[in-house]
Amino acid sequence: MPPASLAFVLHAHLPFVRHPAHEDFLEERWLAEAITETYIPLLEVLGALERDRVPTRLTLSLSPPLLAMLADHLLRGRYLRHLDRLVELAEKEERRTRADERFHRVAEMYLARFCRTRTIFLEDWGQDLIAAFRSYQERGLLEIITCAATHGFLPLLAVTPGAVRAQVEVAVAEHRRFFARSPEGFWLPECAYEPGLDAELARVGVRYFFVDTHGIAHATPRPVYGVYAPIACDSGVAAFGRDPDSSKQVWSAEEGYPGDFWYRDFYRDIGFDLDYDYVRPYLPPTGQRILTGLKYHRITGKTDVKAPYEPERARERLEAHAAHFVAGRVHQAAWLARAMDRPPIIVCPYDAELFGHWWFEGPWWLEAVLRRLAATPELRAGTPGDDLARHPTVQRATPAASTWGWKGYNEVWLAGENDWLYRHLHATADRLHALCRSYPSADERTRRALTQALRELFLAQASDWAFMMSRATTVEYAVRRSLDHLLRCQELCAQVERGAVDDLRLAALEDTDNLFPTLDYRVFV
Amino acid sequence: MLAEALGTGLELVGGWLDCGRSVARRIGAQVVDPLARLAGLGPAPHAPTGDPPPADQPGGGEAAPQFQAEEAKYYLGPPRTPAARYADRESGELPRAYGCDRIVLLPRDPWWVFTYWEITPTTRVQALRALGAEAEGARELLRVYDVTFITFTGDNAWQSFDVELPPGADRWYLNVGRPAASFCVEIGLATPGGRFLPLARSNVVTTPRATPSPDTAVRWVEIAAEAVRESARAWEGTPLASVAPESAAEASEGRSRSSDAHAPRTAR
Repeated sequence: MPPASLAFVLHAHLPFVRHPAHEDFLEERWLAEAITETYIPLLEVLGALERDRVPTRLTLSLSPPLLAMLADHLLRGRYLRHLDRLVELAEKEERRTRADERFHRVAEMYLARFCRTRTIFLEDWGQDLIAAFRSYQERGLLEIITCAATHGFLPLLAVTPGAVRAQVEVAVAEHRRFFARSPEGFWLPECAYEPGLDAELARVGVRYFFVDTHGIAHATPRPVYGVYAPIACDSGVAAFGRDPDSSKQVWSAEEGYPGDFWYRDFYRDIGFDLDYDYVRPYLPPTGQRILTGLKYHRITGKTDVKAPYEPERARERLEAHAAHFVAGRVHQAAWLARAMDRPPIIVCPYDAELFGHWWFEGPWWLEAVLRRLAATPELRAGTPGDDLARHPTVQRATPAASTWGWKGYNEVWLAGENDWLYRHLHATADRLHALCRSYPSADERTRRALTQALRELFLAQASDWAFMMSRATTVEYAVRRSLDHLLRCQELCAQVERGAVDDLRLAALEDTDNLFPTLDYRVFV
Repeated sequence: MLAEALGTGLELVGGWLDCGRSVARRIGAQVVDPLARLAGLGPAPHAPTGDPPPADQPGGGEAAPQFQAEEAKYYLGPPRTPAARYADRESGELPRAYGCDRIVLLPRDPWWVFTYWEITPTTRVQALRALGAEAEGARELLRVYDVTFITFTGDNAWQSFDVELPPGADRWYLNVGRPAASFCVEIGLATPGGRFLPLARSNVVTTPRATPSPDTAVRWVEIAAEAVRESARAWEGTPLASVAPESAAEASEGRSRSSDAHAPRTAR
């Protein structure tokens, strides 16, 4: 039998955070950290694999808000300034740690890394990381797919007619704008599927999406191959299921790779450890201590006494983990081959930001796995698109409603901490929807106001806010952002209803919440 | 070939029951007889304030590290004091009410649904007036209908149960206890004499299936070939010339393409 496919799917997404009125806004660091620690390391890994002619196929979902931020000139400029300060801090650290060899080599590692990051960002790609990913897609290493317009949790938005359709259509339009082709695949935010969503994907020519394991396990009729082959919904769109074994190897609290004691600790950071006056220039204007990205310790164990990080030992561990992972998949593929009459596809979806940001060594683990795959005849790296091309005959079945969240359903996004939100999201969406429908055509000013109102609605619909509220992380910012966008949308609706659009206000909002430049409100009818 | 696929497939499903079990653990599967619960007609067991039910499995087993990693995306340090203040924020408040009668039902998991509602004072007054003498002692309650496979007309549900509401409640978690079933809820006034006057009716929600389907029919379909070629081209490593974004005509062609994607294919 031909080799089994191993399909890594990395979902890259951050909510749209852009505060032009503030020189240095704390939450804009989410993007900066993800670029430094995840996106650029992934590009480095792709570069290394291509240089060594390692057959590489990865699926990467780039969410529309992330694309909007990566394309934004203000945020690019701010990132560059952030990076310059990081290099400066690493230079100081290199000098400060000279007396202690254990820390000095880690400081040197960071300095080298940040300088390299700067070169890649500025010189290799002229600040355009989207172009970087696009070029790897064009050279066959990546299959880039899209996600909902602002990562809306679709099953909880569906009560407003047209709300899901607008999230889907705008996502696909943005993808075409950046990549000059239609996305083959669609990452449902949080893998949140309910029967019928696939029809919205079929409308825009999407061919596949992903669900968690139980979405396939509980599909109707029962899929004969389990999660190891796609199924086709009534709409003709294929659903791929998450492989539970490979996900467990990364996520299990006991055996999971990222928790290895030799790997770098995420929380221990000089932003907290060093003298306040020394780190003060690298902290936000409020002066609060935060993570700087320079971390010198390894996880060490279930202890607060952390030992220094040893890059060589971490390297050994990630090689061992890559070998373990590939061996596990070979074993799995052999076992599956006995039970299947087509080569299995093993789908391994992860948040992209796991690699590098949370799990510092993650990108190199991924590289090591791909290098090993090249030398493993039983397996090959593949994408869902490749699989459909090779095996276009698929079992007809409808996945069960499911998500990849805690406990497998909607509970993270619909809980005591965030359920108040939906009343406002639905009422606001209904109001805007009625208004958009009442304007089959509109004068320029009304068109702009309705379009901006839709941008604000989209921003309020991001699943990130509900997630943060229920996981008690940056709750206040999440609540604030939900309110801001709902209020802005309602304000613009009221202005249109009264026939009194405030030009200055509209221009200010267009300037602040500037994503989706080609949006037209008529997508929401 | 078909029989073979079925045979091996079932074996396969059996083979990954282990993973199924771990999934069941993670999703906190409750094994209850849902019909028995419905037949009991008792109010759903939860806090009288309408607070959500407690988590079945705090910590969520092996899902916890995944969430840790997801949270890490947003972690920059301990929470700020004083709290976030920024200049470009809005100062207004969201409306407390939107001025229209509405009740909405949302799915939470195979056993629970969530509902929120708004009833305008006018509607409430009119309803009480309509009840006349019976309005004395009338209570507000939710009536939850099992409408699985039914086009609900108001009186044809399989069964229903009521949830009494404390004053001021405007949302509630309902323990319907039944996966793969459809529900609808009404908010209304119940009189001591047993009369129920609905004030608003919700949308219908279907709970997720929580076990493998008993349906083992196998049917194969062909996924659209046109798009497959496009994908295959990329796989072969042929550099795709930078093309102009697709025109609307091409996009609609894509639509019709996907609609004949599911031409049935006879058994292999």
